[in-house]
Amino acid sequence: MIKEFIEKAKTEDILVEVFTTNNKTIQVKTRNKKVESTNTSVTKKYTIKAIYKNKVIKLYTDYIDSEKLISLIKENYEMLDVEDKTSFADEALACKNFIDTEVSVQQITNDLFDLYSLAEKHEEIHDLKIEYIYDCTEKSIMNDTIDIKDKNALHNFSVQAILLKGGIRKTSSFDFSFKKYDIKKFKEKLEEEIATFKDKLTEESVKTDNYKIILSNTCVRKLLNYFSFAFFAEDINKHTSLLWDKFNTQIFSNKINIIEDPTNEKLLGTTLFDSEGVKTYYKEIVKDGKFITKLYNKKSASEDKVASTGNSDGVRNLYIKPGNASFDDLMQKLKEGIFIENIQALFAGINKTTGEISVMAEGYLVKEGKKKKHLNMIILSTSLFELFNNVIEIGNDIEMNDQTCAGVSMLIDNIKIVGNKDSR
Amino acid sequence: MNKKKLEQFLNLSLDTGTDFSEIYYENTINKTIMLSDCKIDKVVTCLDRGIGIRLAKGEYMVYTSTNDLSDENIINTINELKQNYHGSPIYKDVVLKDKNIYNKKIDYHHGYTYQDKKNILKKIDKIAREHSSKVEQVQATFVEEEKDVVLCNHLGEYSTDKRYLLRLVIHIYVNDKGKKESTYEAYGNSSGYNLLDTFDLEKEVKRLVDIAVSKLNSVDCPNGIMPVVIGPAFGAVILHEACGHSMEATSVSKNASVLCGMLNKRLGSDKLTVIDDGTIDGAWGSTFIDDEGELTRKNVLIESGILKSYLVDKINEKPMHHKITGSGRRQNYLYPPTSRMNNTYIAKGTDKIEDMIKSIDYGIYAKTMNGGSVDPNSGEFNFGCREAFLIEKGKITKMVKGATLMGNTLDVLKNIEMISDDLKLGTGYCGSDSGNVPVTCGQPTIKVNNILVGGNK
Repeated sequence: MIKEFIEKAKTEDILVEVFTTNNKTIQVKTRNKKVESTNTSVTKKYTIKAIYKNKVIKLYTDYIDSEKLISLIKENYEMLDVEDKTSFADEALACKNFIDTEVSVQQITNDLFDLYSLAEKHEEIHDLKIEYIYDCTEKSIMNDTIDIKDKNALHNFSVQAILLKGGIRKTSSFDFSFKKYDIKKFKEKLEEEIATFKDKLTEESVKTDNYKIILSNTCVRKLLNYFSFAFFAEDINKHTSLLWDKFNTQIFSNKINIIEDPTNEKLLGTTLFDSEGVKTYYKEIVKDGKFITKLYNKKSASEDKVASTGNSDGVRNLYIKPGNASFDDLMQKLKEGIFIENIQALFAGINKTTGEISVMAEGYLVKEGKKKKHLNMIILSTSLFELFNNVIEIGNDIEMNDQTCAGVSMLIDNIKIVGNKDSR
Repeated sequence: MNKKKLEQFLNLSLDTGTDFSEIYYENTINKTIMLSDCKIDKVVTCLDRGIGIRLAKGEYMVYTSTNDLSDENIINTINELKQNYHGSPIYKDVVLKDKNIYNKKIDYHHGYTYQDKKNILKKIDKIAREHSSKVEQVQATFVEEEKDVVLCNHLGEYSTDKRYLLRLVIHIYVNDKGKKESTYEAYGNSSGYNLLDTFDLEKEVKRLVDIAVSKLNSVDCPNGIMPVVIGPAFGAVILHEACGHSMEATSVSKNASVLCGMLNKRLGSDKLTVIDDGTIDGAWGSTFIDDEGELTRKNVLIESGILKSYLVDKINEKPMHHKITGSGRRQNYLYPPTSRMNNTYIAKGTDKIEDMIKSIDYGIYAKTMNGGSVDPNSGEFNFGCREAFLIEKGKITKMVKGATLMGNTLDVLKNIEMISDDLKLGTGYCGSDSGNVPVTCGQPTIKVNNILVGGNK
């Protein structure tokens, strides 16, 4: 079908490349040891890249209807102003498929049910929801000359507990992802997390002030994810990136090294080529605080007359290079301050043009290097530049929970935390 | 997808004793036309076509979706799905009968050719750049969507919908000697290019440029608990986040909402009436039927401060003992539907914005909002301001940046002290269990006492 489409398009002077994604997801939702629902999805989606009279047209489709697609290519050609000198994938990439065994819904259900025993001794847990999602994607590219394939899978567990005690009602949740199904490891993680759920049954805040803080690995991952667009040449060239005038300059503390490592098989987002068939590779984007590598797809690379960096689909396995300190070491060094455990609704409280951050947070007041009490109703009020310039030390507790970014905890000086208390 | 095939699939799905079976089919074409750097830089078309099959017995639901529409695949998928249930058929020999059939004719393009659309985007760029030399980049995007939907179920109900969406998003970036700022606005409807008749494009673009330029000189926002005046239209995201999500059956039926057990109880003052209405002609969040085949309707959620209704879908109708509200929605065939909002707004009141400002010694005027999030269980919410000003001694003084508002649903509803008469609707997307759906948030200007404001001052 794809070959026929490629051939048919050629008769209309249209060169076509088809990027195919086969996706399978399995979701099992349980609540209070009952299965609420299972949701499965099997789809095949196509990204069509067409070159027609020096313009590149992209279509995303659930089905191949050659006549319809050719007509849409011509229609979109008429609208586009921009010529594009990019080419198709031409490398015969050596692809290594990551093979994973799918687990049966029955096995997953049994495993999830088994986890509920961990909550039995915690009276404050009023309602418990445990969910599992398997997401497996196989991708391939076919044009006139090549036919390449790659495959990746992710197992995600998420937990949400409703906590009730003395009239206080709170929610606690967390999720964890693996490349290989590992219920034993997740159970250990859940046991650790559940022990801290009761901490949230407080209404504590702090006085608004500047504090020494630890920003958790989860927060750092979320921030990297949110700001990763800023490293892309397309946004830099259009001056829509907050780093548009900062290439080859010092943007962060020299302790900060930001790396994209898409081929690292230990991380979750392993991918060997992007949707344009460009081989991905390890790269240092920020070195000792200096922004040294811009990220390219074929179009922006062609405009800057450089090679694509294999980032046509965004970033994969982007992280800050871990330091040597464990999380406990960071807590000892913090001694007195605030541990920011999580931040919410980044899209609502972050200015992507200036890097200013004002987001809802939760965490702990830290005294003598130990978590003293849980804090909520606090706001992290700072900027990306302030956070990454005031860093004192970077932890080694790398957290992987999505395929784009990983995070490490960081000890940071002098950051404003807004609270509703009059005194510390 | 003809009716005979759908009947065959439905009957096959029912023979292991399920008491609910539903097939959802969609065929969507979506086109994005984007201007950047004074040129039409991207034109992308997406074609989505697939089905979602939902079976349930009691509270146990299974769902599967696929875009391989061959009979063989659909039959295999159903055979696999129904293995989750065991028993004699409760429903059989289903014959489909028309229930809610879309038959409206809409002139989506209103005579606008592709060249006209290109010209409008280029006009936006030109107006912005001519209005201020500080404008560094303009991005303007039309997103067109046409979606055909077919729904049928075990009761033999067959319904169809044709859904149109048009969205125009304008981003303005300004730069003054290296100091940068930006702003954006989104406009949308469910009836097509007559969207451009509903506002003065030139005036709007100039307004956005003025906002972005003003932000260059904005001061850090103060912080603490203070009164806040929230502007109309998308300012109602506070209502959407703080209140609307807590009324959805998804959380209420699981006793996971701060509003559980609150029906017919007072949540706010007599002045407060909240409505969710999926029938507003041409509104961004309107549809003819919901994604369970039911007609959308006007649901009064809070009347004169008293909670009158939740938003309830078919699966939650029985366990909640609450009538359905035509609120089952989903992003596309990949998601089973859940109860969601459509066009949610606070009915207009009689207060005046001038009196609200005058009544405040020190507070914030949050003129436009960015969006936010809520935990429906605890009621804790937060949202960010796109355009906010300081109120000092009864007057609006300086523009402030980085303002975030935080609070709790029940507190904020009680603390709505004044409601003005300038009701407007704003458009956005709402993300939840069943994906991202277009929603309208609307309100007149309101004054809320005691919100925690976070800024960097």
